[in-house]
Amino acid sequence: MEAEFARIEIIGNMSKVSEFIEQLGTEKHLREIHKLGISGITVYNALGCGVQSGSAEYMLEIKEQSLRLLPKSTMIMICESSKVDKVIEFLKKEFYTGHIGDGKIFVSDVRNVIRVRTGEDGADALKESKID
Amino acid sequence: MKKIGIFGAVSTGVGMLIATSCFVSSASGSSAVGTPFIIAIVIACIANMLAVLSIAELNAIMPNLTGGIAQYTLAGLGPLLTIVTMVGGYLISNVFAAPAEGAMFANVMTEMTGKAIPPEVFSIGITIILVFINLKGVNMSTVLQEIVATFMVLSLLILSVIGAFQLGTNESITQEAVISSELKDILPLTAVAFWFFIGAEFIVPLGKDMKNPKKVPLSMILSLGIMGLIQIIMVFGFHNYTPWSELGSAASPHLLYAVNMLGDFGRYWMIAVAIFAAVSTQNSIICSVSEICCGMAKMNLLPAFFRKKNKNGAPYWVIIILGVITCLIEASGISTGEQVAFLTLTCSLFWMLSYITSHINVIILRRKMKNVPRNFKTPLFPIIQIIGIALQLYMMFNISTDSNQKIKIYILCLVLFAGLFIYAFIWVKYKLKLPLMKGIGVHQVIRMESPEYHKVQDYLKNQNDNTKM
Repeated sequence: MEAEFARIEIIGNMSKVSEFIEQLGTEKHLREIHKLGISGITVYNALGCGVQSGSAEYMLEIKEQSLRLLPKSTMIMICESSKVDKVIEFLKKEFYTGHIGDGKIFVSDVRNVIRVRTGEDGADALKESKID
Repeated sequence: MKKIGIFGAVSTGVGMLIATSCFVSSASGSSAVGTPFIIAIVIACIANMLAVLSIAELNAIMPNLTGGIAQYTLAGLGPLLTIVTMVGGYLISNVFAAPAEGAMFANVMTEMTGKAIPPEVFSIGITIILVFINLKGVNMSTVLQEIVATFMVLSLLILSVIGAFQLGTNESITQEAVISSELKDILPLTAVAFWFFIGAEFIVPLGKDMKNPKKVPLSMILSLGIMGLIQIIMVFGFHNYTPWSELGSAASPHLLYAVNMLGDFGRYWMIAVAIFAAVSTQNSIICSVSEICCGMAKMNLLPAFFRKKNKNGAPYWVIIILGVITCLIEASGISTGEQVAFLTLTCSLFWMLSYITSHINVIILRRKMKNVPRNFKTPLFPIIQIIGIALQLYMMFNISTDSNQKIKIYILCLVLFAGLFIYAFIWVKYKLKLPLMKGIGVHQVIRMESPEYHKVQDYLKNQNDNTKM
């Protein structure tokens, strides 16, 4: 059975994620993301590398390079499974520059969501609380 | 830095489209058929709107590249056609466009100062000043660009409205509105009208200075639309204030129109607009062509010295070469409307070819890279591209209504393309050792943009040479 919710994680360049978060500061972008059913975002900074082992884009041909961990950010958001495709499409367009380091998007199932303060669960826990 | 909004982008965009040589095209088209020339204007405007839609999509796949259309073509059609169409289509057309603007500037200055100083002094003088400014790496700030462009756009709009509604201080004239209503006379003039709308793609680099870069396609479409509207209103203005026969033969038809309508006040107003338009257009050409050449050298499509920059960050080799060629053409004494028209039509032919390659690039990259996210996708694919190519081809086959001029333009193009083809063949096959017609991966093209990429390639080459020894 398909889960009702999905977790979307995007791991990308720290500066690109910061730029995206900065854009969310504008009302238009915030409205756009709310329309996609995203009510919250969690970001944490990390070190990491992808398939290029942290090599710079222009140095890919140099073989004898050691692994380098680069500053990355992971952004997590939860949405209803039915809206996943639209959210991914939105994120792909926002993060695309064509350069190595644009990031990767991971999608996984979430069985339930519970708001601790009110005890609401499921879709209600992702919206503004009805109890307030 | 202050970011520009949609108004700023559109006014700067129309400012970039306005060139003084447009007035010659406008006068030559209007004097040939009268007010039905607006049909040709509308068709040319639509053709160019379709072209910028394709360019906007290509920019969405490969954003912020210095070589622009050249890099898109390298990814789509491969190195051979990129060199032939881009060096031919873009660089050579700009090499012709720059002296055309210089000549128009010289005409205006001669008009203002009397005939004491030869016009070549003005055209060569302004080119040398602009070359020097570009070598110093001085760029007009976006705010100043916006102010100058807004002045030009509003002035032209007001001058055309005054003419169209017969609000001038001088008496309006009475003449036939329609010289010919035959489609066979009107449609070939789309190639003449094409010249009003070239250069809308120069708005693309403004994206990085915009509050919302996603509005670049809309800005380009609006700029073309406003330019079309101004030209249409001006045709009615011409009808009210300038006899068709005088309009067609005038070297500075815009001055004739302004003087007939508003007397000396109109003359000085139009002189101010023309000076701004000529200087800003020639400056944009020097600035953008040097960047495009630098971008092409980054992709190894032109010799490496083209990407060398001076301490001010200016690609000095291209700027100097372009300056010398422009001065030489200006020194040859082009000044009449007919000579300027020949230059602009030849440029148009090359430019049309580059727009066709843009449409083809979109078709190829939609197949090759269908999953790449695009912030902008041309609607109704591939209908837009097919109609766009058909319109550009139509204009290329009807580049001039004068059959002698048409043959001269075709011969010049054939000679240039033959030379370019030989250069491109030798360069790609023996120097780059690449397949002639195979597109290079988009991501490879993007990587080549970095100056560090070339340092690494040189390092690897040295290492290989040392190993062999």
